[in-house]
Amino acid sequence: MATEIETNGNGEGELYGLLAEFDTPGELVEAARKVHDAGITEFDCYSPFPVHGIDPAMGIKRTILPLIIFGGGFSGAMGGLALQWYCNAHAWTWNISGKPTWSIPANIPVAYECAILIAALTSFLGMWIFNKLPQVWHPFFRRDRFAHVTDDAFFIGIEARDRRFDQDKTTKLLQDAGAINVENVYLDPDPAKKQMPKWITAFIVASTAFALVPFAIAAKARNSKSTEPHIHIFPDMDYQPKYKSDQMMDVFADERANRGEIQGTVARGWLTTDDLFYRGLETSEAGAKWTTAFPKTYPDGRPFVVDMDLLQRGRNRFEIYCTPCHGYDGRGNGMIPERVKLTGGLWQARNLIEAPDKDGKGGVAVQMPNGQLFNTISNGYNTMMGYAAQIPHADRWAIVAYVRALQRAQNAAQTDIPADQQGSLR
Amino acid sequence: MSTEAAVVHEPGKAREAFRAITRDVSSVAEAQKPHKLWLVALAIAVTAFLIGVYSVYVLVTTGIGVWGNHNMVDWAWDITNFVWWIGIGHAGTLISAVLYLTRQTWRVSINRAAEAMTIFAVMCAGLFPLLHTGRPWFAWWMLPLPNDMGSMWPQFRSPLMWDVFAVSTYLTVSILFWYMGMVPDLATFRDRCAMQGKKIRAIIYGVLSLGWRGSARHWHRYERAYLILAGLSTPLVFSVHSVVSFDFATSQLPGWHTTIFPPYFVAGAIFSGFAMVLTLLLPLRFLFNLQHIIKQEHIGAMCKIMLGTGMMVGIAYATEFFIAWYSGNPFELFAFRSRAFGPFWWAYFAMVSCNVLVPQFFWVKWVRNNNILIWVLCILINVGMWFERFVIIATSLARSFLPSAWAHYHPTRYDVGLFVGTIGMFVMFFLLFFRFLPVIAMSEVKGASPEAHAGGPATKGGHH
Amino acid sequence: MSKHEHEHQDTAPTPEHGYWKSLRELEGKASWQLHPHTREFEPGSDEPPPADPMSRRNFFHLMGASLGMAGIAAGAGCQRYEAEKIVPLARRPENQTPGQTLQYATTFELGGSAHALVATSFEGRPIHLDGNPEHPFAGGAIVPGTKRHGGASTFAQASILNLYDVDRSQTPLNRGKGATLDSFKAALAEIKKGLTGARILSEATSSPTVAALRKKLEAAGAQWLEYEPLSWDNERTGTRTAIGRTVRPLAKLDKAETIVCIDCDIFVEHPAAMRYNRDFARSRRKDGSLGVGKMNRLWAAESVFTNTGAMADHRLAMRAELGLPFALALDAALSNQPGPQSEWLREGKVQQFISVLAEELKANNGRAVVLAGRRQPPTVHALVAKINAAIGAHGTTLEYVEDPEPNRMTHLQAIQQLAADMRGGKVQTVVMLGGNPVYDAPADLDFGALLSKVPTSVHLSEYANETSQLATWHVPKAHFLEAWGDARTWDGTVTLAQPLVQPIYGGISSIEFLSLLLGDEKAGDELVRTTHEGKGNWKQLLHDGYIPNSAYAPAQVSVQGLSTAMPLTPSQQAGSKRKNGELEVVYHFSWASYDGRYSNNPWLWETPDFLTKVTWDNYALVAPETATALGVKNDDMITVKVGQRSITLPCYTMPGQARYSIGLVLGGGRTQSGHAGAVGSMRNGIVGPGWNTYKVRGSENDTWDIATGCSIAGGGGTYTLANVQEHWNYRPGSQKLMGYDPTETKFDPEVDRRAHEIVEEISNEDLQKNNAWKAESEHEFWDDEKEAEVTKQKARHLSLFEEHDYHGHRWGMAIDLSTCTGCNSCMIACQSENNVPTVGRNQVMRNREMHWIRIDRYFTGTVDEPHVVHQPLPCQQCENAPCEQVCPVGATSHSQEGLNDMAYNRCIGTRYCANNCPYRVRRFNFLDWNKEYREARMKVRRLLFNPDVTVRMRGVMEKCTYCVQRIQNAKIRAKAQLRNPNPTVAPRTGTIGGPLPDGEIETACQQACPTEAIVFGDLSDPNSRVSKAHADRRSYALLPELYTRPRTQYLTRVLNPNPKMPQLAREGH
Repeated sequence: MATEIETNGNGEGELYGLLAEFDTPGELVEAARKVHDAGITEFDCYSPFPVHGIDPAMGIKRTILPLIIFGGGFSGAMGGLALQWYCNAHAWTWNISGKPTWSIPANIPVAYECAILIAALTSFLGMWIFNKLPQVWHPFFRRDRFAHVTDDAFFIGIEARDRRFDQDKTTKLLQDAGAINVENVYLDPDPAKKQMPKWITAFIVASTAFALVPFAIAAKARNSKSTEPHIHIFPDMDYQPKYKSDQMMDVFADERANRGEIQGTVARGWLTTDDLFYRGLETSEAGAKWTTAFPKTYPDGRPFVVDMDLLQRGRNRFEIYCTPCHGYDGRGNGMIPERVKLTGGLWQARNLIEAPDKDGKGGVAVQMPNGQLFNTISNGYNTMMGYAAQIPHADRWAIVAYVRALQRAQNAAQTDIPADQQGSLR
Repeated sequence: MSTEAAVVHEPGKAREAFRAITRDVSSVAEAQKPHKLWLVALAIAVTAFLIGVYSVYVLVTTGIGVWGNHNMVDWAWDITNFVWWIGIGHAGTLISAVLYLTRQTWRVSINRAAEAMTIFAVMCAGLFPLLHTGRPWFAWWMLPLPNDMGSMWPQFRSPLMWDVFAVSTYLTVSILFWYMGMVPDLATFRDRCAMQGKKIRAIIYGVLSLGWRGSARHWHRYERAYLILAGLSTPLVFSVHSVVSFDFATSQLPGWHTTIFPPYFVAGAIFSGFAMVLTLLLPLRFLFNLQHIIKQEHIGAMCKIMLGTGMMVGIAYATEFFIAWYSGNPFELFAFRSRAFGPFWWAYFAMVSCNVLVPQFFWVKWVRNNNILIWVLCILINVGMWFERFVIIATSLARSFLPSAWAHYHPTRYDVGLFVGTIGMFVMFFLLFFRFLPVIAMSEVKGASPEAHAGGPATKGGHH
Repeated sequence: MSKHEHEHQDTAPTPEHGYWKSLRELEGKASWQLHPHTREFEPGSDEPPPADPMSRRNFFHLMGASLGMAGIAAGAGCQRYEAEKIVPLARRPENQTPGQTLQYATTFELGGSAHALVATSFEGRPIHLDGNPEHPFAGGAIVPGTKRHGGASTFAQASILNLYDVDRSQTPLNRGKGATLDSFKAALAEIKKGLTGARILSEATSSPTVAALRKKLEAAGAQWLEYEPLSWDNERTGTRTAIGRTVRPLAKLDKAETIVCIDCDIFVEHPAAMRYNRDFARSRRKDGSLGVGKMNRLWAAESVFTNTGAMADHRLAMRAELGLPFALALDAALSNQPGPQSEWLREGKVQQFISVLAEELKANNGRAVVLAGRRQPPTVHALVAKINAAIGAHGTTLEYVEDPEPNRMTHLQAIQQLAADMRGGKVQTVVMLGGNPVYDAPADLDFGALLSKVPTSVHLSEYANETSQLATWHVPKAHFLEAWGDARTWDGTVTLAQPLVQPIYGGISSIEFLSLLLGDEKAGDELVRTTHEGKGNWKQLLHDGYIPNSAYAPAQVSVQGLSTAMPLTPSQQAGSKRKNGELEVVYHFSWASYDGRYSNNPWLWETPDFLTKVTWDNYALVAPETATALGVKNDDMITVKVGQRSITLPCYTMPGQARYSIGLVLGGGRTQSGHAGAVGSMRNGIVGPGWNTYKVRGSENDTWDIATGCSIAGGGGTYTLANVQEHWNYRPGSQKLMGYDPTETKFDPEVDRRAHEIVEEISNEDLQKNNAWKAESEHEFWDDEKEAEVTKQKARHLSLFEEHDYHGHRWGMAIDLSTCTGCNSCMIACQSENNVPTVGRNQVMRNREMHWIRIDRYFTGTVDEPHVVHQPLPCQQCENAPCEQVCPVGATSHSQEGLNDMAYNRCIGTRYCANNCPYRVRRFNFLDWNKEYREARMKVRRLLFNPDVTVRMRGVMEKCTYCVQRIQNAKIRAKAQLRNPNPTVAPRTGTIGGPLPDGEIETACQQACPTEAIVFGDLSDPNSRVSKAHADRRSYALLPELYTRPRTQYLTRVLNPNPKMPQLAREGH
């Protein structure tokens, strides 16, 4: 049988099925029932509008779409809640109007809208997917009369692949059912026509490629270096007409917004009259000389005591500001001089604890009076920069005390150890 | 049914009827030359639209300061227009969804146009929340997007966030609903173009109609989905305007802080929505002579709905005053007193007369049959509804808690410009829709026509 | 921009970059000399400066905007963040830590009276001014045992804006044309020759250094004259007639229980106002304490409604000219003599006022003081001296101090004499130090014309003003923050001025100028220093900012044989009802431009007047009743006719203004002012805001302060005054249904009702009688027991949800309405601290002013005798802030310390928060208010911005932050010191993030408030002042029924009316 169909010589492709046209919806329903009763399954009715009573006639089962849509709606609601929980109650919990971070009532509207949105999308997409649409090509479209299906015509189409299909019998069946015209529908002989039209394919490929562009850019940018500052898209107060620390101000000759202090003026809290504390000087009618002691008091009158606290503070500061050059034990073996050595440089940091030899040579730091050490920290010495701006006065004194402690410790003799602790040595 | 079926049984009769419907509806789009009036209307609409574009340009490059808003009245025309447009956007889905569920067959004559109107109105509405922000280029921060600011997210307690979700959902669903309903008709256009040999159009319509071929199995799922979509849209319609009303109801301000707002706003929305549908359809119906599809009784039905919703709104106004008095909250009471008799009394009386008195005309049958009069009344209702929103927003803000913060408000030409612009955009889109898309749901009209049952079992004495 | 590169080639200063050359030269030198470290940059200073970034920034903004419209970043790809250079110092001065400020004591002189200030400097740029708390006269603690505190007036604080004003004079002018300092010095040789017989016209100044130089000049034969348009000479003359010696009365308000002000504003206008504020606050609430107790009583009789009248327990609106009959009657009543014959005195109100007052004065003998204002004629001041003697004020509540220059002629005589000499052609050379006589000299002298006749005239002034234009030479004067100097506070304490920055526009100070004139070119610091040689350790003096015990010596005085036979004019004998043509005109200082000198100061112009709440204009004050009688309305342009002269200006109907007394506000309509007028007030060119009322102010037969026989006429059209609060008479809608009073003798009933809710008031008597009284229980919605429960056990009957509980700091503020005089100091302080922009007249009329703290003014009672309340209103920092929940992007949220923070960068500008704020304290940047400062010519102005505070762009919301930057800095400082076991200051108790010592953090408004009405602190510390204030029964929250739980609470305003007087409409509710 089938072989005959294939070998028919009318230039058409193989037979796809039969297309029967009917006059009224009523007749369509009747015919559909007959075809169905005849046990044919691979058939369908076509009409410009949903014909009443066609479903039972064709024995169409109720679709499961509603269930899926419900699923969609439910997940939408849950998703909406989850989103809000994540945003406001988990990822960014903050105090808004003193309200609790997680309170359902405020979250209902959004969850509700999400539910509807997802449900609507499921019903829309679901319907097309179940209908296997879009499908812009179909063998029936090859019959001109079929164009009227969206206007006023009613059709029954039976596909040849139905196991009960028999061209003559089926044709007869349809004619008996009241078809005003039955015709054979053949597939397009041109195999290309069986595939999706080229331009659609092309379009899909193109758009997919285009969609990948951003990712491509991202991939390219990944791990790449750029000397340019990054791109400035939206103004967000990145540039304000004000001057922060150390900014340039080109209307002034020195091109600084920093106008500096006027000579001779005295700022609040900077009345540094106490020479001993602020400069390490002992002034007498004889003149000024570096103090060998420590200040008696702080400017606010509290007594200045050299105790463990002070030494701890001194050590803490020393290790922040001094160790890079002078090293932890003050031997001048800090990171920087070590590195200079490695690179074959000659410069080296002062060894703070080196004791002077018998005829008083060397040991500069040891020989310096406290005042001068203080002054060195404040204003620098040889290549050393002053640290006045970084280290408050009290801390400078603490460092002086600590340096003294270092020098004492590093140059200690057996006898310097308290008798009760002598034994702990080995 | 059986009787009519019997009448039209002769072969061809039914098809003739179907063909007529197809022809009439398609003719609108297939006319070789557009109607002169259509062109004139389009020209005007486009001009208005361009005015709007200019206003937006000035607004965004200069700042909100070009508007009349100020530190005491921070919202005025912008949000007024937003609420107004959203309100208008309600009739569409309502007509198609609610009337569909309640099996009001007359809806088929107008639902397509109404849905289109909804979409365009919501588009207009959406512009305002975006543009009223001081830094619109950051408006996307309202979306829950991961960002480079660490875990910085929107703040979901804010009714504005609810708006974002409600309005965007509403727009999406409306578009789906509209498009889904349109597919079979697009297929009709496709086939007609193909037959008339208009290849390009055929391809365009072909793509849009997704290869619809009216299969009964498709129709089965299609109808289910459509029904469910309608079922989803109905609560959506009510939720959207309730959410919009939360912007005010959940705030502190006397005159805003009112529990009656959600129902009140929804009623108002339907009210204004129907008014706008008629404002648009009456001229077009005349223009493209669709009298026998959009029948007089359909218009009458809509008038009755407006009468009903109009009276609901009226009750809402009364209730507000009663509660203001009954609650004994002096701030509330003053807010409403100054609403009616204070600086913006004229706005208030415009609102009451347009929204409560005007609809009363619809009691009279003669009025319901006089389309010109109906059209005028609908325009008035639209005006009234705009004033309702203005009164709620501006007058409440102008008389807040501290007398030192009392202030007056004057709009600027950019306020007006943007509003005019949105109207232009709305009309423009609508005119284009009328020219190029099936303005009436043909398949539904056919399905609803008596011929749909021609040759049915009734005549064949079949079982059913 | 490229413009710059070539700018410093040409010498002729262009209007755009006028200062440019001078800056480069001068600053180049200065920085070279003063900062050796700048040497490393010195060579660079010859190279062209880098391109101006701002223009590019400008572009960014525009681009961003247009992008915003496009909504896409497309096309922006080419624009990148600009690489900004920094120029750090290789050797930073010891006291300069990046990002930290320094404070310097300095001083500012206004009308011959010094204001002791502390200037905050950021990297050598003054950015903020405050009162000097250490100063013996200006500073101190109102509440014993609390931190010393110094307030500052609006003028003092806002004068920092003039420092960076680009309209300040930048080069000398020779006959109005640009010249150089050298060419002037050359010309000076000639001038020096003519020094004999030369006239030197100076502003009133108390500077000892000037005095020293002046002696030398007088020795050289020059004649020294002083002129001030707003002068207190009447007091001087009057006191002399009474006492026989030139002495200066100085009230001790902290000791007074009854204070009587006759047309005298002790809170703003008086030269000792800042001190009087403090002393008043002290005796207002005993020692400024919170509790109920003895408080002083303030009586005011005045024409123009002033802050003093607003604070007064009893106020009598009287025409200024009636001061004499009033004083006579009071004197008579005290000595049980029959009063003078005046119809007015027989009016019931007046009679009662005077009799009750006299009674009280007698009762409070030795605890009362009477003060008369500068407008009042010498006779009144003489009488006041007599009265004070009678009530035993001398030595107790009133002290007289020796006047430094007993024989100085009055300012009016001085200018009259100079004018006469000029007319007589006796004057070859006149040197003017500051001032602007051409603008503000008495109109009848026609000073301008005379000046232009003088062969040689030199004018030293900060601005090239009207006078400079007519003088042959104008020399730019250095701003007080640019120059060394000294001046004396009203009590005579010598106060030293340190410069904070080199003269930006190359001006020279008046002392330097004088020494130039004397031929010895001494530097300012040298001059000042030599004047005060041996007064103590110089550094110490500079550090403290004053010389201890340098006040004028107290004078032992007695009033004898002052005849009270003082003839009354017919007008003074008449009653309060007058006809048009019999009106009086009084000249009132301007809240904004003082006497016109601040005409180019936008901060001051945009700060609303204390009571009218008008900005950006001056006007004529007319009593509503008078206005109705004479047929003029508010905002009408009225023509005021004084003698032969007349002026047309807008009319402001002011409740409480004395009937038939027209108050002309001075200081408007400057013709050579600056761009503020153009930007702010939509004037053309450099015309300042307002109207020039000096045009009608003549000096013939004593009409200088009070002119009589004047008339007004309407019909000049209307002009809308930019009012930040709607005019009290703005009554839209239906008169009847809104319950307005058609006769307009009463205020809007709703405003009246709410004012009672919003501003709690109670009389001292009631407060003491009723111990159960609590401000909070005044509110029906509020129950403080419930409130207590809520905080204790989180009961849910007030709040729907678990309340947020706070750990660590809980910042809060208390504002005492009893001592708030409504002086606006807080507003300017906030503006300066927080980079608050000004918006100009047009935008103010659109309600877009940006002040973070505003002062609400409510009238109650009757229009004729209104009762006024002030209420400073910053952000209330609600714990349940309604603004936060409505922000879609969470740009405003609550900090752990309970601050309602605003994240500008996150704000998208929906303005929903502002709508939901019941207090309406949020401010939105509707336009780019800082646009101006992106212009190249405005660069210098940018130096003033507080670097710790964002300069907000358009489209974002802003509001009071409780000066969060100050809070954070204080916390960081505390932390740094806690880490240090040996801090250079006393160690703090508590842990990091724990309580800071109370008073450590002061908000800008608190710091500026002269009466310490604003208290800020940590509520979690039960002993902090603010906690105590909140616990006080006077304390209440604004709109408590909304349950926003504000952190800012108000202390009920306690009034102290005399029981024998009619009770105020406000009480017993």
